[in-house]
Amino acid sequence: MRRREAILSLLGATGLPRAAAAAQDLSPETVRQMMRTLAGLEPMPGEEAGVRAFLLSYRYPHPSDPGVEPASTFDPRPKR
Amino acid sequence: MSRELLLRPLRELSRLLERREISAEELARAAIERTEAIEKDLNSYITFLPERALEEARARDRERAQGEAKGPLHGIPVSLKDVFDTAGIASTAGARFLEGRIPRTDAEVTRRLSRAGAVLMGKSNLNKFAGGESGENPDYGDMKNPWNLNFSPSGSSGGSAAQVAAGMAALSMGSDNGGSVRNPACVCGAVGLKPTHGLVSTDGMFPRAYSVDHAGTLTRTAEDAAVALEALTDGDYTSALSRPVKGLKLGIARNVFRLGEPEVLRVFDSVVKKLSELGCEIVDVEVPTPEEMMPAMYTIFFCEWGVAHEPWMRSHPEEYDGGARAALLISAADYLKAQQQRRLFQNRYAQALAKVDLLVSPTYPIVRREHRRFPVVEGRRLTLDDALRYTMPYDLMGLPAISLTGGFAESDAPVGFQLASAAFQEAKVLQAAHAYQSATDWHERHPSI
Repeated sequence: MRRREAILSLLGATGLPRAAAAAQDLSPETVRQMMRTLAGLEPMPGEEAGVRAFLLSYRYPHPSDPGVEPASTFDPRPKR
Repeated sequence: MSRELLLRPLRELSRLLERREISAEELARAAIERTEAIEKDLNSYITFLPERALEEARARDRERAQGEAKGPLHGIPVSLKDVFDTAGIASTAGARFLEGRIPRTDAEVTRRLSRAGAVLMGKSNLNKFAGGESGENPDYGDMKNPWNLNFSPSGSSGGSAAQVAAGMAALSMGSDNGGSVRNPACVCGAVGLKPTHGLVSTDGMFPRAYSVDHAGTLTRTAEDAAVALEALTDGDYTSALSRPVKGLKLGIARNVFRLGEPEVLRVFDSVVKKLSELGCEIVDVEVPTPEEMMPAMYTIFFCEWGVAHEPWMRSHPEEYDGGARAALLISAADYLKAQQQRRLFQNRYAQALAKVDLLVSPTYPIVRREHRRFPVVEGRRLTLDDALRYTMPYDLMGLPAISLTGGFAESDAPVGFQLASAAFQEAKVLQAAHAYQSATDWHERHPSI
């Protein structure tokens, strides 16, 4: 799977049920490709089911609110 | 030296040291003997440092003799959850494969406690990588609750809470990114303070999730928490303790409340009654529900966790089973959308806190935490989300919150409650907690171990 296809498979929905359905459709080989291509990690044997379950549980379900600045902050003071 | 002495609040031990009625060496030796007697039951330490502690205590006594005592923590036995870097001492984050990780420098918390004259007893056991509230660790073994060894001290700072409750240390530092200081404090009968995000430095603290990580204190009283926070921040938190709480407005978010075992709810009702008797005004408020907040919390949490742990996810993949490495598949867009939502939640919390001085709630919906099993409440087995529903919001919002004992379900089962405030209002949180402890004696009960 190419990177674009992998990303599209993750962007399948704005609501959790649709995201869950998209993740459920992922074959073990697709999951392995995603781990290699998107996470940059070599898949472990048997890891696919756990990754799919994770994606089912933790895809962020809500649409963007363009008027709201995300809460992430940057502290300009250097830290070690 | 008696067990009863070791169970006295930090502030009392401090006064005994100041008056030279005991020495730091005597106190450290007593804490070592107590630890050697009960540690096999509690499994609270990953690294216990008796020889180092005695050496450090003798140095503290010499400093005091030379008129160089550094303040109320001088000579006090303390422990650190094993997420705080200690120069020259293994800092494992609860993972055995990190035993060879020996930092060259101290975490800022370690440095500040050392600068304040505290005596380090050791590095406390925790849930592996500070994840979860079960008090379990597959590498170092389950931690046990000193009130009843059949149960968990909760987590992830379970070793720290057990040590403070059992008199092995007068102060222990924990970390909190979902309730990991407050939940163990709750079931161990201790006081757990999670300050405003960033108030206590997390520099040199093993990361879990950067924007929700907090360093916090476990002590036996709110006054002790105030004393510790002063050493950790240079702020003034003890002056406010004597202020009356009459007229303080306490908010109860009834749209969130009422999940818990019956004794949790009964104790909470009695706490509200007592706070009312002290002159606090009880006001109903509305805040975002945990059900609303959890998706944003988990997206932010796992994304940051994946980034923080990527090197080890790569080098030790077997340590991250169950699909945990999928954290690195969370998209930047999802992360930022969750951060947008976080901002909206912040606004709603600000609206609620504009009406009241403090929010009050139970800390933990569970009275006795079994290892590997949640209890059934109202016909449903609780989940991790349920267990964190009262504590997690203050991590995501970065607001200060404290847990203290509000009663007992049985003679061996303390039940806590939580007070929280707007950012950087720790003095107000501590003031109310101290007033409650001054009017009750729950914190004077100790486990029989």
